[in-house]
Amino acid sequence: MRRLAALLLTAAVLLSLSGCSNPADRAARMEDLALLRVLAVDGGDEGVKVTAATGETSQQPALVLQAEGKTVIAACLAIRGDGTAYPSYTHLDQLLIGEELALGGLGELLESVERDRELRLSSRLWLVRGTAGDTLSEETAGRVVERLSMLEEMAGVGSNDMDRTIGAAIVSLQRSGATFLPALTLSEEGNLLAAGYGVLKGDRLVCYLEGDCSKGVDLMLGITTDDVVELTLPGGQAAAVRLNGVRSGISGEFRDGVLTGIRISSKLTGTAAQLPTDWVWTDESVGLLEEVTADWAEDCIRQSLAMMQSVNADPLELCRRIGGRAPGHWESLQEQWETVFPDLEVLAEAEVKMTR
Amino acid sequence: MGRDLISVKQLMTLLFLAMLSPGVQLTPGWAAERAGAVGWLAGVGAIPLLLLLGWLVSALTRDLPEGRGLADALCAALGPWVGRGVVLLYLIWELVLLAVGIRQYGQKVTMDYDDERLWFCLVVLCVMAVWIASGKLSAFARAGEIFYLAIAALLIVILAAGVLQIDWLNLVPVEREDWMGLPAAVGEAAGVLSAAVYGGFLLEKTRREPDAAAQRRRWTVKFCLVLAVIQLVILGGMGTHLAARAEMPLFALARDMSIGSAVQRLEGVVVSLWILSDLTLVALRIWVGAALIRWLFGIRGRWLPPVLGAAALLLGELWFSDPWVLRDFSAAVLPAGNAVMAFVFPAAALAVLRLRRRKTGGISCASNKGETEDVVMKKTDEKKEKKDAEKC
Repeated sequence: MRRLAALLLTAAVLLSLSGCSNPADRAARMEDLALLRVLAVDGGDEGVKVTAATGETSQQPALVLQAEGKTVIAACLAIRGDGTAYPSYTHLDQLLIGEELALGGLGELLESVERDRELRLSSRLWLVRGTAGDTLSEETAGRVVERLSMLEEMAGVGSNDMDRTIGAAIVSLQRSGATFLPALTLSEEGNLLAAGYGVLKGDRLVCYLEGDCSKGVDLMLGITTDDVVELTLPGGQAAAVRLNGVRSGISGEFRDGVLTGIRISSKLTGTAAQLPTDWVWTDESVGLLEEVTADWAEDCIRQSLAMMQSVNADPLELCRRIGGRAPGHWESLQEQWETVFPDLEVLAEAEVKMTR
Repeated sequence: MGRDLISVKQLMTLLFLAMLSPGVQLTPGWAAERAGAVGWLAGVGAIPLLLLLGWLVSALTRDLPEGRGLADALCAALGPWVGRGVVLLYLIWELVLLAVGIRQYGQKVTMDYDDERLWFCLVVLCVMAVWIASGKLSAFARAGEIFYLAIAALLIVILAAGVLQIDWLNLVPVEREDWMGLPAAVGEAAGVLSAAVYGGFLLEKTRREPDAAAQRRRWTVKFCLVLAVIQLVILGGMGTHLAARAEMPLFALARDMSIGSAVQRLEGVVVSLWILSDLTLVALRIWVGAALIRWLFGIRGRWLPPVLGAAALLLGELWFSDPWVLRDFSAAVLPAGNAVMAFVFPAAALAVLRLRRRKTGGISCASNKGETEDVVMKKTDEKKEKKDAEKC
């Protein structure tokens, strides 16, 4: 009798969870859902303009939806009033921010994402140099979705910049009052190209780190893998080195409790990718190659820090990293950081180990 | 004649499962708020307090024969009237905890579902818990061992994935305010977890084993260390700011976890399996509530668990339907109430018991004539032998 009762109870529970009876089940069917993969947010006339796109499948092209609203959430909800499919944000993994919106401040956007139950803090955040919505046209949306997935998977590999999650950006802003976001630009052919990093201070965009400055960020954070660097040897000859990996330590130089300098010690490993035709592999020539590579790395780091010092922003949380190594100075470091950071001496030391 | 007894290991397994739900739902956010980057040490800091709780219950019940639990010990210490009054307070608090536990479960499952499904989920949980609590405790304990295996496997996956996501910048350097907030975080954690004192009312159904105290200590330390690692993963993965603001940090973290790119948004799996912990908690509370009613009023009947379940649903709807009220109650009142039940009453009872034992042999609650415990036990044993002889 108990087994029969148990069986009936289980059947009742399972049947009511199957969706056969509708009162408790209002979820859309799978085929009616539009699983949005990318959301682009720009400043709009009403406040915010969002453009969202699904991925492209063999059966149908990417679906692109647009809406405006006073807030991001209002605009995202307004998108649901457009089209025949029900947009779902649960699979959203890329968020593109337009430059104009970033200049105005991202506090409200990040707050909304943090509180939303559909959006994930692990979604990647990208800064678009221009209008983010322009990247998601009917013709380019499918390609852009794939491109962003590739940039996420291959972040830090080769010439690709580091990716950044929404959660990491929020935490970094809360801790150090600044953060950095990987920047993208749309080419004329409609391709998304890496364009360094945008630095946010408070929640506003203040500058970009491009070229060697962005390399400096990668070197300091130790995320460079399989990147090819072009060098000019002392004789004017060109060479290329493939960097296999880098590890960096960040520490502070203190004098009487006052921070006077930042020391960045980097260890790089690399292989020669292209050498002059008359190159002879000797200890002396390898030493020269290592020295030139080290000079390049140090220069990148110095340029990157100089840019951050010029806007007095600490997107890499250098204060925290230095404090982690010198906990005894942590309190005084927090008090003096904003005052001393712009004038700190940067001591960049790179050590390169080259293999054939 | 077989009695429905469980082993100490089974008792501790049930308590481990039951405490996991409130422990993980409530303490990480509070610990992050109070103690920042060192909030994960709250679980470790709670170990001595929970060991003290175990010692108090053990000291109170040590000299009782098998088949007697914390209720009898309180009575023996405080006398029949005061003892019953204290046990009545335990019963009332148990009902409140039951209502809160059901509502907290509702909060968890509606995290990703509409609030319209809330009542459906609550009723299903209650029905399952009542069904379990209406049966034998030994069957419940065996089911608990299986639930434990499922939760343990889940924890291994989550913690392994979580440890890989730890950003050390979330944990160091540590602010001075964080260290100063740690005692409050430890107090709150101990306050939430000290609801385990209700396990003392299950001792009447637990076999007396020679290494019972050592087993209880091991399980207590194990639980606190697991909680500490969970908090470490949360703080290291999310950071203090996000962990303090998230409603249920572990499930928010699980939302962002993935196994390669094959499985994403693990929070559905996590919540589904974590329901086993809520089910154990609610079923255990219904079971203990029914046992306390039987002990206090002599009322028996299979209708007790369903009535308790229905009463808890009603109380939850009347008092805790507003999530802000539930949150404030859980933060302000629940730890303090648990602490009184876990430490104040048992400590007072133990002090009185030791004083009484110096003078008399302790008073039995089973006797209306103020007879001592050993006299009553002797009479009870004689009655039992007579019954067994008649049957043979």
